[in-house]
Amino acid sequence: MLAALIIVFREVFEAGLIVGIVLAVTGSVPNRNRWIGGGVLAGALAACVVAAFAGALSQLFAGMGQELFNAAILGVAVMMLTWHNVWMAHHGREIAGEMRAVGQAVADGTKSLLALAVVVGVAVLREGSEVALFLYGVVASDGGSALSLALGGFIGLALGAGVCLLTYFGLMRIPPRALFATTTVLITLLAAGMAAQAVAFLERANWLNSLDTVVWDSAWLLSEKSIAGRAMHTLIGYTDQPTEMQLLVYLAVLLVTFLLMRLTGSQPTDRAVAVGR
Amino acid sequence: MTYSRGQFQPGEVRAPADTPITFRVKNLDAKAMEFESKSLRVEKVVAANSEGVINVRALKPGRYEFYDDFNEKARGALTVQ
Repeated sequence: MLAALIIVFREVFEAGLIVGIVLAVTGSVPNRNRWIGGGVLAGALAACVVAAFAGALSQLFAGMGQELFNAAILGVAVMMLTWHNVWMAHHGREIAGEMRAVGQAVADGTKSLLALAVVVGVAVLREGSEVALFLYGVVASDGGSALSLALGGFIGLALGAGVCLLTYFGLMRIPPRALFATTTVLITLLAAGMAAQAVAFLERANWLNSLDTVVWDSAWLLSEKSIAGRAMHTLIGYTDQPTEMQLLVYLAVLLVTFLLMRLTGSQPTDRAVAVGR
Repeated sequence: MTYSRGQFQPGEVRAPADTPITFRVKNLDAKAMEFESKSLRVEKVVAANSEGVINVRALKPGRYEFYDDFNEKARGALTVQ
């Protein structure tokens, strides 16, 4: 039971962190629970579908279907996160200035919520499909310990939800003004980390093999497999053996986000709205 | 290579150095397994009764351990020469 608990908790942990951050980011947006809840639910359903067809998915692209699928959905998440940041740089001041009730802002807010709901869905999908596969195997195998393993799995799931709540309430303790700056940094690092992870999947699929020399190995300092390592992996994209290409892409995402935010954030409001339409 | 009853078969494999390597792992069990290795930098879920392909870049000579992340009793190693 303990083994099942640990395996499931490890997988759910990352998704829990991401959902917690997104909940904090959208703290003041109306209807956010419906959107984020929808994202989690859609992700969980999709995870079951992916798990059910894991065998078939795996066989695509000469056995590299899993890797390419992961790279693709990570790519989507990176775009959504970056877009959210750029949008916030655009409208963040209005929202902070208690002007969020303005009709246009609410309509735009929904668009940004949709992007974040997609991010949540993708996170749940990625981690959830492995949990679903594992638990399905446990339930399907006729071992007498199946029930206790399944129980361990569900406790692991509950602990993952606990991580999500801890992250959320931790972030909510930050005063509102500082929270905006904090979550912007968090989301940017999250996106860069996901992009670097997508590169790792493309490297495994042999679709990307330039600059694939490992730059350093810091496993002795902080193993990616430890809980602290996993937290850092999700939050800032920490990898104990990054390749040159991973580092390059990581820095590129940080730079592009920064430039896009500077570019859109400094435009006069009236012109920005016209562009937005 | 096959995986059945929670064991890799064979548990020890060899490969030449400085050439990209491909693992083909056939999971014969009714449970999913996850082929994982820190030193090879791979992790891949192989569903029950199916085959997984794992690419590894060209390696320096040495011993590289791998295991099933869903069942850490199942271990094996690749020796590169």
